Formats: sequence, C-alpha cells, structure tokens
Amino acid sequence: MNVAVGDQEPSVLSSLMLVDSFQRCKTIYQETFSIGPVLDGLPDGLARDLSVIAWFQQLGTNPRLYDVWQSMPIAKLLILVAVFFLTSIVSVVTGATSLITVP
Amino acid sequence: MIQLGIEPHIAVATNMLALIFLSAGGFTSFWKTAMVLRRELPLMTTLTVGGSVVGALLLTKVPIRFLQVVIAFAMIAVAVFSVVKRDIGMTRNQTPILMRRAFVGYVLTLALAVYGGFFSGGYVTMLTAVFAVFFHMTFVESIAATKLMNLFSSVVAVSIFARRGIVDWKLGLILGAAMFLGGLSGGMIALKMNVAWLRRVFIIAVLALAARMLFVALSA
Repeated sequence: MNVAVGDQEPSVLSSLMLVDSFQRCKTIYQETFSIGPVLDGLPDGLARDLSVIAWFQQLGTNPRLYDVWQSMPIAKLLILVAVFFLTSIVSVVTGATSLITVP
Repeated sequence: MIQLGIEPHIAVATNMLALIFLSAGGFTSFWKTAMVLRRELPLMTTLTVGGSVVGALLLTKVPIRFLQVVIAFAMIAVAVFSVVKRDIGMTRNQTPILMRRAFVGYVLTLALAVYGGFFSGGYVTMLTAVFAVFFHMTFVESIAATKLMNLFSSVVAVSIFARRGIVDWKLGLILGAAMFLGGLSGGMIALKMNVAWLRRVFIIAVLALAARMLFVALSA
C-alpha cells in the first residue's frame, strides 16, 4: 500500500520524513549542486542550507515524494516495531524465542 | 505480521531475518559478562549449522505435526524434570563433564538443530534445557549459549529463504533493529534477575509453549 500525504496523520508524516530525510536530503543536495551552478560560489554551509530548504519546498509541492514505503503504511510498521521490541525482551528473559514468534 | 496482511511465507522468512538480530542483541548483552566463553561452544555451533542445513533440506519430508506433538510432550517432561531437580541450572556445576554425558549433549544439540532447521517451535527452549542438564550450565549461561546457536541457525535459514527470494529485506532490517534492542534489554534484565525467578519463568514458558504447540498440532 502506498503512502501519500493526504492519507496520513501529521505524526505519521513526521515519522515518515524522519525515516527518509537523510537519504533524500543527501540526494537533493547532490542534484542541486550538479544542476545549480549558482550554488558553487557560495560557502558550503550556506549552499547546504539552501539545498535543504529547496528539498522541503519540493516536499510541499510533490506529495508523491512521501511515497517511500511501498509495501506497508507507516502506522502498521510502527505497531510491528513495538510488538517485535517487546516480544524480544520476553523471549530472551524466558529463553524461548519461539514462544512468541513461531507463526 | 500475518495479521497485518503480509504473505505467510514472506512473514516467516522476514521474521527469521529479524531473529538474527534478536540473537545478536541477546548474545551481546551476555558477552559483556564473559559468561559465554565455554570451550564447548565451537563444536556446538558447528553441529547447529550442519543440523540446520539438514533440517532445511528435510523441510518437505518430515511429518511436522507429529514432531510437534513429540516435542510438546518432551517439553512437558523438561518442565517436570526442572521442577523435580531443583538444582538444575541454579548454580554453576564445577564437576567435570563426563565424556558420555557430553556426547549425549552433542547428539541432542545436533538433533535439535535438525528439528530447528525446518520448524523452530520449542527448539531454543529444549536447547536451553539440554545445555543446563548435559553441560552443567546455569540458566543464564544456557540462554546466552542458545542465543549464539540461534544466531547461526537463523543465518542458515535466511540464506535459504533468500535464495528463494521471499525475504523482505527492508522490513526485516527495520524489525531486526527493534529486536536487537529488545534482545539487549532482555539480556540485561535476565542478568539482573534472581536465578530462582529465572528458573520459574523458564518453567512457565516451557509449559505455555508446550500447551500452545499441542493445541496447534491437535487442532490442525
């Protein structure tokens, strides 16, 4: 199931952005430098800040940019992460991995 | 995972990938205490890897439901044995391990690895009991050692699943990170727990798992 901006709560969107932000920021930053020679003359820090701003602007105009999780909504993923974390604790303490993980 | 709509075979394979990290996390927390530096571990690990491969190859040739019932009754026997022999796994037994006793322990380690290769229900629990009884380990040492065995058996299983292309790597790695942290936390809790309480928790877990396996096997 794809995840689009209009379908998600703000908190979910925030989580999604956090998950994906570093990779996308890096990509946009590199692309900006390759196609934006105007940034070449600027100090690295300022150029990077401008790239990040451009990245956030792009997010605002292109909802599909949030479509990063192709197989599962982020809410379900968070539920799974919580369940797996808690059951891992139980399984190590009891010494019984399959008590909670065998399908 | 299946409840959330993931295909069962992908759920099993992806869960197995995450289990690698659970075992690594659990083992890491015990590793710091140097409780797992046992000279038996290399042979145990070798037998586990070999047994897991054989088990995976036998996947379609064994009566799994029948074995589930056998293992469930074996687990009930382990629970009863643990209740009767109250000293098992409570303190470190310093007496030398007899060759014959060790041999039986290794054979059971291999047999359980084969079983764990195609169906992991009760595998780690039984292995914990085998290590405590035949290699004079405490419950904490047994749990630590089984985490190492489980790490290798999971790697074997994942490599086979991966060849079939049924592992969701992205989901598995995210869940694996959660399980690694859970394993670390669980290990720290186990180390801080009173051994008597750890034994009680173990017996309850064994009985619960045996009941669950019997229910699943008999209702199938």
